[in-house]
Amino acid sequence: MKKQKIQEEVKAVEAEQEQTTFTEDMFNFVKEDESAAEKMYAPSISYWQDAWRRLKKNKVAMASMIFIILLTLMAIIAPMVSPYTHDAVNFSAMDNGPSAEHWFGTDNLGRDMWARVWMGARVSLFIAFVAAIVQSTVGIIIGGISGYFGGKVDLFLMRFSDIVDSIPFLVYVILIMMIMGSGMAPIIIAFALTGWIRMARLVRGQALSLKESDYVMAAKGLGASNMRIIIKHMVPNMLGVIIVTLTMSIPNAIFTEAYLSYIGIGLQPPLTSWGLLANEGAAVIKTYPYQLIIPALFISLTMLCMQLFGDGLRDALDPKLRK
Amino acid sequence: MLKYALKRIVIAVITLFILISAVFVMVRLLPGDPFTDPKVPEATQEKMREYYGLNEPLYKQYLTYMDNLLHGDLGYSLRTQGRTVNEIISSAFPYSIDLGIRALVFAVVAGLLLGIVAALNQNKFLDHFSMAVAVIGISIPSFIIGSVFQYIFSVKLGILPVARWDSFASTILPTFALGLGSVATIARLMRTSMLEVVNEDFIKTAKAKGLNKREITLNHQLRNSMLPVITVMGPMVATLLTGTFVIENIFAIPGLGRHYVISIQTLDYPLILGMTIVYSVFLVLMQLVVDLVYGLIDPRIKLR
Repeated sequence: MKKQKIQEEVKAVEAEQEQTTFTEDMFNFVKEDESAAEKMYAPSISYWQDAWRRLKKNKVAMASMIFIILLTLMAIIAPMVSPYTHDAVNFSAMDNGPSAEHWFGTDNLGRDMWARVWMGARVSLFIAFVAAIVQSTVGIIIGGISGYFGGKVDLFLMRFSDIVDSIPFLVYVILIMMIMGSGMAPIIIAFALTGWIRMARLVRGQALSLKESDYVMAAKGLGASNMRIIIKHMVPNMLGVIIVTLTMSIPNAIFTEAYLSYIGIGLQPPLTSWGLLANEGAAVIKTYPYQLIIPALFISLTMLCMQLFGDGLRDALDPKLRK
Repeated sequence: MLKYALKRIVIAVITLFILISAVFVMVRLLPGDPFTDPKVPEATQEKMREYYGLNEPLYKQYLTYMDNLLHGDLGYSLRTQGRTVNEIISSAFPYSIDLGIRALVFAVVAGLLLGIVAALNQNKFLDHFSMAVAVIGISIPSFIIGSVFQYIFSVKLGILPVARWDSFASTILPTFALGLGSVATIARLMRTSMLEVVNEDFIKTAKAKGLNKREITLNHQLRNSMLPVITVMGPMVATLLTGTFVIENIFAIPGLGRHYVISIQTLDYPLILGMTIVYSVFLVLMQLVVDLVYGLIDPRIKLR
């Protein structure tokens, strides 16, 4: 019985084989399409593209960004195209309120406020941006060294920053002003001397954690120099947090410049800045309130937008920090 | 705790020493001195310098100054005849401190309230409202708030005194103007902190024990959320005290700010030095107190 069954099966198979013709390619391996496994069904997105995408969704932050860009452009362009210069005195048009001729009115010497506000914007924004960049650079370098090398260097630098930090900001400004005179450079230097601490602490913390990461260990194993590791591996990974902190320090700089000029130890005329304009306006607030309100509005709006943009940037660049 | 406290105190003392020395040297490095004046005969100028010990070598002046300082003597003001720096400071500083403390109390109370209300109503109207107030408070500088409020409440409406510091009503506007920025900072911090603490294990435990919501919020959530707020108190005191200068200016309060600016303009060495030292000692001490209090409240800090 069994034998019969087997024979039948063999016959069936043979019959089947006779019907099929074998071709060469039937004996090739069926290759897996490796490129298919790698195929991306959504476009590849880098960290920065992703951050940009998130930022774009945040309407408040985008509006603030557009405002800041417009403001910066106006600060550059407006004084060039304005029919009045910021220091042209006109005694026949003193303390005139806003009108078609003088959009923001004139001050007590008949100077056009529109031109003065934008000239002030130039100075205030320039100081704020430069100060933020300078102090961040100092902070990154000191914090990076402190965190990366650790040990005694770290201890010394951190104690040093504690001491620098406990001296009031105003003391620095006053001392520097007394030595260098008033002007833009002393203010920026004072910012650089005091503002780096926040950034340095932040970068140090980041450096401490990043230096334990595997890719830094790999780079070390491959013989990369300290400088190369810092520039190639640590800085790009910290960039998000650094940019956020930098943005947040800009409103602070705007405020401090305005504050110093307002109490009369910052910039001095004939230079002009928002702080100085507010100072001049405050003197005549009882009679010509617009002279204070206009620069005050600019200072506040700029700080507000910087703050909101900074918040948005933080959410976009570093979701871990999101609050 | 003792070791932590000692470490803090040593750092504070070193800071003060470096600060005083640095300020001394820098003030003396300034070009000119209080007696440089082309209208005054050279011989008289020389005599004045001799009288005040300004022609001695720098290190000798430094030692004398430090010696006097250890005895609590800050020297004579060079510009206001016959007044000691101690007198000027002790007559003006209380006003600045008074204003600073009022603003601090206002900032802490209002800031905590706003923050707590926002956190308990997360993503509801009250939350958005509190945070909008906070962002605006951070964005508008104190001197602008001061001037604008003065204009609205005193000049236009006439409800509150325009200036001076002699009645409770006259302290309202300065306190409010100075404190608003800090209210905003504390409110934002408190809100974040409250929302973070909600997810902690001890809140879960408290819920599991069957405590009601009020008890959990008051005894567990609130207490633990206060820690970050205490951390920022040190720098905040510094900000507020610096802020008093401009607020004093706006509301004509006879505090330290006016003397500070004038002394710089007239190169009144002992006065600049004296005020910088008093101001810095005060700030460093406040920072020390905050650090120590923080160590007491949060036992974890000792381990660091």
